Amino acid sequence: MECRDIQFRISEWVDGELKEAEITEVERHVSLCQSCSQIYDDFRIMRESSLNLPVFEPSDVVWSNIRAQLAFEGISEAKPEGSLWGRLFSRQFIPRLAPAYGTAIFLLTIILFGSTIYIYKTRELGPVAMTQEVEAIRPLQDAEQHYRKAIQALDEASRQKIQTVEPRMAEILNDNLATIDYYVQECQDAAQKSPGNPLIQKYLLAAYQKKAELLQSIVNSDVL
Amino acid sequence: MSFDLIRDPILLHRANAMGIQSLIMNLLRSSLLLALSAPFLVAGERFEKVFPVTKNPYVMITNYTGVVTVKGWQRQEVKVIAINFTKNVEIDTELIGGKVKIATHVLDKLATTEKAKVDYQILVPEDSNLDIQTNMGTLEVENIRGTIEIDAVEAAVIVHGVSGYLQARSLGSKLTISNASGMIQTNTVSGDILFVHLQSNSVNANSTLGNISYDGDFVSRGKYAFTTNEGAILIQCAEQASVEWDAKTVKGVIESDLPITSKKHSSVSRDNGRQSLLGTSNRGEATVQLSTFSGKIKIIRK
Repeated sequence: MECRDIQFRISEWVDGELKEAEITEVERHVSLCQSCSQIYDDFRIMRESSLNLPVFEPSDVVWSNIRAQLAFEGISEAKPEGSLWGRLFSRQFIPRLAPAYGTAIFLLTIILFGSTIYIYKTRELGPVAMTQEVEAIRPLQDAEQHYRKAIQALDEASRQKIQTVEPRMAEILNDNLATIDYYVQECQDAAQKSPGNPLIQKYLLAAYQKKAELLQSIVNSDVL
Repeated sequence: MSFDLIRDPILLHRANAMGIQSLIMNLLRSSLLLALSAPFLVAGERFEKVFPVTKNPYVMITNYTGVVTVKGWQRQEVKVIAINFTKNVEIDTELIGGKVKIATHVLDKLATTEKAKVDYQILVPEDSNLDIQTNMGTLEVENIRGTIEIDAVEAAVIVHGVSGYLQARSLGSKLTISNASGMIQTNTVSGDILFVHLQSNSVNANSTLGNISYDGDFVSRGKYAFTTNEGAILIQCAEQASVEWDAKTVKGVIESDLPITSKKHSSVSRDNGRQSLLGTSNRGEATVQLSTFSGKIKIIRK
């Protein structure tokens, strides 16, 4: 056997799941091969370390909750034996989980149906169109970052300036800033819902741009 | 005092627009404010100055509150008539290297807007270039051929009969532009933008919350771009208008009663939640781009 095959079997060997003949073969290879020997040592150390880890015992409250939930689901008395698949599909287990299975299958169907439509639409657009759309949005997202930084830098300066103006004027400026903030938020929400929509990205960018311009004009204004 | 106000041509113009009843209410309100602010206000001190200027002078005007009127005339001089209503301001004027600077200087910036009020009537050569900043009140500009830059906060702006490049920005006030023929760029946050009978071949309007209204024809090979985020766009034009339409909205709606030949499969298509209108009226000589985030776009036949 090659190193690659041996390395797959080392884990099983450490866990005591190999037959005698297989153990002899792996053991012989590991004794001659330095890299496989290293892997075997690593697995052995990991296993010994894990055996020394303290056992976590959930509190009585946790157990009580689990039992209560199992009782509510009507499966607390179920003690199926055999393999996992055997237990899952045992006659006792299936009827009790029928509503849960039904829901899961229904959801799965919806997901599969949605995925199929999505894949169909994606294929219809084609990989080139998708790439172009992503490429088109990227510079907008970069610009968004720049505007956000600019806004952050101007925000404090404009706030200080607004404090020095007449109250009615301050109210007007704050109202208009709030209008833009509201709109920025609306665009952000829309962009989150439709992340691939370049038109929304452009609106969001325009909103940031407007906010930055307004802040700048407040800071630089001669009549404020 | 009240009689002086009524004789004021701008107030009379506004009176026609608002109706006599609302004018009387405004006068009563103004009188009450004047009475309360008596220690700071004066009964309108008149200030007048004339500057002889060369061709294409540059005129800078800065005011806080009040009515500002700027009109182009045939003389090569700038005439400034100001009415100062308060002791809280000083009027500074100067001529430096072909530039005329007219500025209201407010002594106590935290005083109420009424205590910063100055009205201006400024006559300038028609080929003047203007740079105007005003916060509140009214600004009217008429008959100018040079470039105009306007920055207003809450002052209603009316621009009429200008032919040079016009850039007007406002926060909350309405911009009204009529009979203009140069390149126009406008920008507001919550103020409406109104265009009436333009001959411009390049018009750009952008607002966050305000509505944009365009009433008139489109110039052949002209380019018009109107964007409002939350507001509506209303276009009123003749059926003979030769326009290539490109309208988009993210969450709003598009309506048109103008015959538009679609470029695509349908005149109004829905794609990924967007709505768009791509088509031409007649030969499609002018390009009109309309865009809103959630506002309505409406194209009406006149």
